[in-house]
Amino acid sequence: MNKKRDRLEVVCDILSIVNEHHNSILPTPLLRKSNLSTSSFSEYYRELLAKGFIKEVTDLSGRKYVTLTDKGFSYLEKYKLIIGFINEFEL
Amino acid sequence: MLFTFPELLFTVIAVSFCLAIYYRTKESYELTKYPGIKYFRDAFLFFGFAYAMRFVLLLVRAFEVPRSLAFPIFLLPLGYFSTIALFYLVFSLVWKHFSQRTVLIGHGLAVLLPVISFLTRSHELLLSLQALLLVVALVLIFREKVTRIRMLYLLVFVLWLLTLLSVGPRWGMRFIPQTLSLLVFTVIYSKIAKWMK
Repeated sequence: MNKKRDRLEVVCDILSIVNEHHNSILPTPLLRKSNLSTSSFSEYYRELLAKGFIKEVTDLSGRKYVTLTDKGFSYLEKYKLIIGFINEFEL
Repeated sequence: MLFTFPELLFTVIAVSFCLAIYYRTKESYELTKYPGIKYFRDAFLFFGFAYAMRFVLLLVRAFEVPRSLAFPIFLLPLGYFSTIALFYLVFSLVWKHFSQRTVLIGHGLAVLLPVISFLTRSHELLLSLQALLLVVALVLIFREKVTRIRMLYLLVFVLWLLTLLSVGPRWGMRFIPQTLSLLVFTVIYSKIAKWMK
């Protein structure tokens, strides 16, 4: 499988983890559950924030949680279809 | 008279299919920024422009604008759009084996081929040069495997060449490549519609 395809999968995995935690997870457990190195995770994390797939929400005690945006939910919903399209057209 | 209602109808349907494919895949690309989807979409966007320009070329002939002036001028955009469309179509299949800079070669060819055709005032030469590209495309498309979808890509390529050939004054068999082109676009669009709900 090519690097870029892996990238799409990793993004899907990170978003799925957030979603499976009732759309609210601290960055540290997200890093642990994503099975990525700290540097890779940071890269993906920044990318997901920049693309608007996730956002950070700070609670009253000052802890920073990660949640999915509408775009993030949309990615998760469409992921399998997009991969199906990529595979069928061998893109 | 070369400009006929069937030509207009064919162009409208072909361009509509190309643009529909482009817009139907928009969300997938915007969500993933996946290069393969980008090249695929761009191929059909440029095919849309190329089919539209082909119709303009037929109009130029139909209204008997002096061939020495208008015809070669319109060959430039037609040549650019069609060559870059053919390039992107093949590149969407093989982009993983090449660097992003290879796209520059595509644009270089897309400029060079129509300029040569412009200088010689011959759309037949453009056709011949694109047919040469077909040889390269055949190697690139089928060097790994032969699949139905790759055959479909090849058909899009070949049918464009046949449709371009039918711009010529003595070509009377337009109906067959045009019908086949629309058939291939329908198959591609229906396959996309299956995934892009």
